[in-house]
Amino acid sequence: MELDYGRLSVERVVLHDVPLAPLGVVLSEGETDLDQALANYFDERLRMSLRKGFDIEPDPESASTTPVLIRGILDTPSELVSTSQRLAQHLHSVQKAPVSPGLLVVAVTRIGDGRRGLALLKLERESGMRAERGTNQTGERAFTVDLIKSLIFTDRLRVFKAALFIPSGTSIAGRASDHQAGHDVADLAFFFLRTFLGCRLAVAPETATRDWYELTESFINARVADAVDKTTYQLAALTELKSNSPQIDARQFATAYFKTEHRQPYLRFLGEQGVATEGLVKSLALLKNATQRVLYDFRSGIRVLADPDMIGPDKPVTVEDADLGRTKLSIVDALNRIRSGGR
Amino acid sequence: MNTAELRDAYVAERPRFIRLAKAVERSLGSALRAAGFTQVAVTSRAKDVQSFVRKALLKHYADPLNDIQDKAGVRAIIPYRQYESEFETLVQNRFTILDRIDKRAELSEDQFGYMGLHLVVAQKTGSNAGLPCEVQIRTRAEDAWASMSHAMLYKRPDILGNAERRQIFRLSALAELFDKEGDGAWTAFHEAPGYMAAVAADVLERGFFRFTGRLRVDALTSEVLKTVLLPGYTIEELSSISTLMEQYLSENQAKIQDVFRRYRNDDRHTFLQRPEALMIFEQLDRDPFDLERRWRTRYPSVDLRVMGDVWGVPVAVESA
Repeated sequence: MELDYGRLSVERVVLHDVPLAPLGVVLSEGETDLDQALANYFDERLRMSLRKGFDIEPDPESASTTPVLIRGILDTPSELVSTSQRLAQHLHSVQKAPVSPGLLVVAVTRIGDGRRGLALLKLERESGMRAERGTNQTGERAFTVDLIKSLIFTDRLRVFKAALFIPSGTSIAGRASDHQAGHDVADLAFFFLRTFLGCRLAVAPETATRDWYELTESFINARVADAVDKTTYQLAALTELKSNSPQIDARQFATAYFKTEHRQPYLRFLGEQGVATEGLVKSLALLKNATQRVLYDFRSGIRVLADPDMIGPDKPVTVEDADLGRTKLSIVDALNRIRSGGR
Repeated sequence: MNTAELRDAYVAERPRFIRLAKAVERSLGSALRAAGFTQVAVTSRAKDVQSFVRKALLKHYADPLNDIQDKAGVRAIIPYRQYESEFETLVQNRFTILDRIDKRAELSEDQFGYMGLHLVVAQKTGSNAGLPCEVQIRTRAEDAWASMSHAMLYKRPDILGNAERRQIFRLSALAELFDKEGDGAWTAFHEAPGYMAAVAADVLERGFFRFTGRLRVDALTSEVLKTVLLPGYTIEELSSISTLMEQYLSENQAKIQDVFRRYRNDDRHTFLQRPEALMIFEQLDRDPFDLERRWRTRYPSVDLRVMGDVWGVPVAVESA
């Protein structure tokens, strides 16, 4: 979902307390009074969460009513309170331990160019702000929110789950993140994403992972001149694929492995090709062979195939930059056999 | 052609020279603005009828209507001599140069006097193409001396005696000295270590006031500019930092306005109330990684991350 997150700003907010059953959901009957500082606070939390998020779309096989309710608010913003109550009741009915209870924030947001979106945030209580049930300025029962400014800078408020939706045709498109998911992406995929939101990832993990890897390789070959850098980055991409992390974050990957001058061009390259730079659920289904061997293909026709674990300083295969744009590949190992080609 | 016929012919032609002088003035004014020369004053005039006839008679031109080159005239007063060559290039880029008269070259080493540079130019296209217009380039000191001496030495050369004339020429030496010292100070100013930060702070302050009145400027601004932000630009970019920032602010005006509107009464983020916020936004859009690398050597990364959250550009923090 292409958005300038800097233009995102929360305009109207309703909060509901959604504990775990058997405790009952505590619903607001009106909107929370929102001053600009509090709106900014929500904006920043939303941006921070969504930058680690995934593009999502309604899952036609899901029975969840959430996409229809969200579209309802987007089409008829005056129904924000009543529809958000139904969203809270739906969340209450589907969330079960070990999912943490919290406050559900349903927010109408401006997303720039006069367009509007709907954000859902699930927050931990009493961290950075105090929410108490009371009455709003028009006398309706609602949560009143006090911002405890000194806590904001401690960054203690946790946004468990966040999603932002915009209209797309007759339906919706969105972006979601789940900071409770940790290493269990299934949590995102099956509870928040599918059960509550009734959505699925917009790009299948195996396709997204393959696209990321192939484009990363293209970038390395086309835009990185130094042979040592090329090898370092290539091996880093393989390491990223083989790591235990269930997600790939291209921005973090570039920060961890690329030299500063290659990072922004790399992210720009991925962005131009339509590949997510922040959140990507990893699946190696289409890349099983990619992690086994690294191929060095030279202009002269020489090709060297090596196990990635055998490449690097103090390993049998070492790579150095040579003059005139050439690369020096050294193999120091015990030779088992030699044979001619074509047999 | 007798004097009366010459006068009538010039009266008939003069509106054309008024239009030409105005057109050259406008063209140079726009070129100066585009090049960021804010301190050059440009004026124009068509030679008045009396001056034209007088010059024709005194200098005995064979064909005064064609031979007198300053019927249309433009004067550019430059603050320092260093501006002269850049200004001349700018004139060359816009017009055809018909003649170049460097008055300094006409003075021997023991002479003092007028030292302006005169370029006779013509428009390259249009109805007045080829028609000469004299562009005089002078420093402020030269202009002060020339204005005074013109009335007493040029227009009425017979009134003053030698002693008084020498008095006026002595002043031209003073004007030359003024320019020389002014140029020295100008060079020292531009080469001083804090100059670029001061220029950038000025540009940013000007931009900042377009969006908000909540300006906070102190020693930190200069420090952040010098140590973190300005090192992010190439020498070429620094030399046109004003244009670069103006262009960025104009391209992102709506978004910047929106940010400052939203944070008008929200003072949680220190850097958002400072003019350098605009340059931080520019560099977040340009290359947040490079900015973060420079930032973390001097300031807590969290301050930059917050600015990234406000601007909507994630800042990936690299462990030191």
